[in-house]
Amino acid sequence: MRRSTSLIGMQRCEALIVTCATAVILGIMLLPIVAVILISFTPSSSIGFPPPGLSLKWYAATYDMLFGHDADLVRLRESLTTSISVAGLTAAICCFAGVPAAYALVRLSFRGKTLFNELVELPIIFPAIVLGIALLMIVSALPFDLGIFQLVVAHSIIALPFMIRNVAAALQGLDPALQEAANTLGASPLRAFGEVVLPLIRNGVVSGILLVFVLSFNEFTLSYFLYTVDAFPLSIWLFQKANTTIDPTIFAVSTVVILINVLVILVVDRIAGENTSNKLS
Amino acid sequence: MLNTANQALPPEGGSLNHNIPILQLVGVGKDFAGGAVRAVHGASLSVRAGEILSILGPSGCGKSTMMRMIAGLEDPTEGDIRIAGRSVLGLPAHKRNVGLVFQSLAIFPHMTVWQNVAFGLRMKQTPKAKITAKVNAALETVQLPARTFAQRLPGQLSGGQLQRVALARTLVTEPALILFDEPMAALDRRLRDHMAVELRSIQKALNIAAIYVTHDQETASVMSDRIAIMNSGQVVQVGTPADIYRRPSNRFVAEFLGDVNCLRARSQPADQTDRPGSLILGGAIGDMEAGTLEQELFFRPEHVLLQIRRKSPDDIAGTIIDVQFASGLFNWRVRLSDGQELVARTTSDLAGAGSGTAVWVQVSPDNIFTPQG
Repeated sequence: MRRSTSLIGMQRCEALIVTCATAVILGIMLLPIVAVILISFTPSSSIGFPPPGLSLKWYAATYDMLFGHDADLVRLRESLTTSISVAGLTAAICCFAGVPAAYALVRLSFRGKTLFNELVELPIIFPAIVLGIALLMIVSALPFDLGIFQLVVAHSIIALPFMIRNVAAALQGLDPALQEAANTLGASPLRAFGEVVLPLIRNGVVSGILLVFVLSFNEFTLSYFLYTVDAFPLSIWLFQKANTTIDPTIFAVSTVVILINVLVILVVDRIAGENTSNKLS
Repeated sequence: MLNTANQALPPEGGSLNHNIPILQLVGVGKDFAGGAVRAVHGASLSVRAGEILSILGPSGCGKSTMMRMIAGLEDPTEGDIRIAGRSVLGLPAHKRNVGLVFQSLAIFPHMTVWQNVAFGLRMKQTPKAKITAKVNAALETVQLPARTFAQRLPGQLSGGQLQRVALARTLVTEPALILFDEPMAALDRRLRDHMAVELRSIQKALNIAAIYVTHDQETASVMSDRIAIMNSGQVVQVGTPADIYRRPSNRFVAEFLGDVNCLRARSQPADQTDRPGSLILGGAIGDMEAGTLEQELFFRPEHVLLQIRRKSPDDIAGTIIDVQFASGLFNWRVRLSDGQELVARTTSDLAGAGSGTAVWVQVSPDNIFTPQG
């Protein structure tokens, strides 16, 4: 009797420790984000935490920068357009390269498959600074200007593994017999892929595309090495702005960036949830 | 990879000639990992129109590999596969016109029942009106009325219904040959027996050649016209279910198809008895002549005649050591006077005989087989 009471006591103690630890870690993780969001609503033009009051002043300033005609401010609009274009193109490239690569890794057997697998995963652990320096060397040696494509290429290199992982996971959950059944019913391998495999891994592909989009949109290190006046992404704009004039506008812009990220994550989560419930039924 | 056996065979005739089997395997073999693993070797078989042949064997015997080679999902490393007399080596699966019902059924989960069944016709560019008529007919055949089931998704169907969809999806493309890869393994015994009978009646009604791959000898016996027994990559014996059961070519086949008794016995030379060449169970009767041949005899438990009273001088004395009652039959374990044991299966309870009762055992020579190996 006494023993079981002490066990319950221990379980309570354990639960308390776990709760506290979780709260502290979550607090540390969320504090900067919450601070950025709160400061963005400050009415004063200096940065202080907590803000003395609440206003939408700096959002109005951001709006002016995005949609106004002041030549100095047009940079923000341009950089946002650049970031979205680069992210979109990176997502497209990763999709077209990643889906066949994932298919090869999961379904086919070929010489050097292990090596291929390792190479595909390499950019995840490879230091971005080293990759940035290397790419900068290559790009400056080229006789022509790649424009925003030098960012697209760089982002594709680091984002491709995430695309491949997502699609490979979806493929692994698919019965290989489905495709073979389509073959024996008269569908050529390509047709079977389009009619049977692709619709069934669609969620994996879509969440991969969104993930790659966000990775590219947020990317800083490679962009820092490779940006030019014509290829000037939002992350670099924010960095330079923060380096020169700290005014609450960058917090308002950051809050918008956070919002875009959260939206994409929610969509990805939703798709992933759908995927698992499909498999369970 | 074509072996010399090809040239030894007579030239191919017209493809619709009834003497030519729908499917012919000639010395087919398959190596994996560059010859390190021999999944199948020297397999020869044929299936005629309207015939259903079961390939029966333990798991890992190569039966699934063989079926995948016939369907075109694997390429054989030796031998030839012919469909309607024509070699299909190198022909990809989607051009073979061989239907395959998978173990997992492989129903497309994102398509309705209708779309699943129409898939094969759509791949063959069948006109829309024809697709409608054919899908309706196929669903009718497998007793899934289109009105109720056409728009359902696979997730809303039971195991037995999915089974029917898989069958309809294959039947509708009118394949030259249908292969079944243990598609009923997941169903419970009762439903499986029911489906086996139904599958056979559909197959007979449509007069399609079929191969049913299984490790379940009961289903194989119920379904098939002939059975091919496979073991470690080789076809061991081919024949009707009754044939193989009564005259198994070796010990593996005998044991795989059901319970079997094995007793050591000595054969008596013809000149030393009035019944020439009769077999005498070792030590059971009198003294044996020196130098006679010892041999293993096999017979089924239901072929043992068990009696309380001795009826013939050939009867062998024994004692019941155990009795079990299962599926309406009594299984008697009997120890013979020389110490060997056998199992006898009877419908009667032998007037209440039990452990310790003395009995007389008789086995008709017609029911005794002496397989090699």
